[in-house]
Amino acid sequence: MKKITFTILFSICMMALQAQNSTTQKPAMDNIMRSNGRIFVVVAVMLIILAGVIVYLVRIDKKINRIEKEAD
Amino acid sequence: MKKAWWKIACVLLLVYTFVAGLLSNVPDLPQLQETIRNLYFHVCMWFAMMIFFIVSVVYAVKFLRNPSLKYDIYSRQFAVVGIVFGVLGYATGIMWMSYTWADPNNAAFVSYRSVAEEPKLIGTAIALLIYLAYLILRDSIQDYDKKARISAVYNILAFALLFPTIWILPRLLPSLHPGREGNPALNTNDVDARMRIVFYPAIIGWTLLGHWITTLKIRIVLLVERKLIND
Repeated sequence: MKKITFTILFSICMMALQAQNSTTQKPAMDNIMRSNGRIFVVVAVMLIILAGVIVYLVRIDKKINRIEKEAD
Repeated sequence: MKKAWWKIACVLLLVYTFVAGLLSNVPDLPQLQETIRNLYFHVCMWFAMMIFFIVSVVYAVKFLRNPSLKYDIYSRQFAVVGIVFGVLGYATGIMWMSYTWADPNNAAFVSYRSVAEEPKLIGTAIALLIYLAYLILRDSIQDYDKKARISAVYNILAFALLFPTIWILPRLLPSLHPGREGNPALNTNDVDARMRIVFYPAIIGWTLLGHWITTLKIRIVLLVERKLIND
């Protein structure tokens, strides 16, 4: 039991150390999405919305196609 | 998905608009700063609206020359999508002017009162209300032939009233809105070259998106009407 508690405490300490490390070092996720004031995040969000609208339109388009075929 | 090339073009142009519109270099104007990118979104709404109203009035004239219910349906659906784009242009314009025209040092009431006197805002509001009245007029008439005839005539009147309300009157009165001196959006000397390569594709992309929505609406109405005729 003592061993397990020690292991857990030790791993928490390690995680805390890891967290300390990551703040002093360069952030791990320092990629293109975090550059330029994170404007790429906005681009991605807008593209997701656009994709959603387009997928919706395509689905309606296909549905109308099917109904038109059935009506003929 | 026959003849889908323009739908693909629409998607590609809009993706280009969103990516290049946010990431490309823009002229640094102190008054506008980054909000100048709204040119690719706000102004395109008005372009699309004007194009749809022109198409709508063309079908209205076609209906009066040759009374076919198909033309009436086309005319109505293009007018509706034109109104939707107009409302979007109005809403985006409100957002834009809140952070460029309204003076943050004054109380909100004072600065918005000065903005509300803007002739372009009042003119476009009148134009959109005239088009909304078109829908009310249409849907209040039961007889289909009468409805189609009267709404075609009213559509021409509404289109004619667009010119004084959004093109002429705002240019005669003092205004903060750009475009009093001519047509800045179409003048190649006015819009920076870096912006034009995004702006013109953006207009085409947004207009194609609206056209896509309109064709879907038209096809639905044609299906419903065919079912009614067959019954």
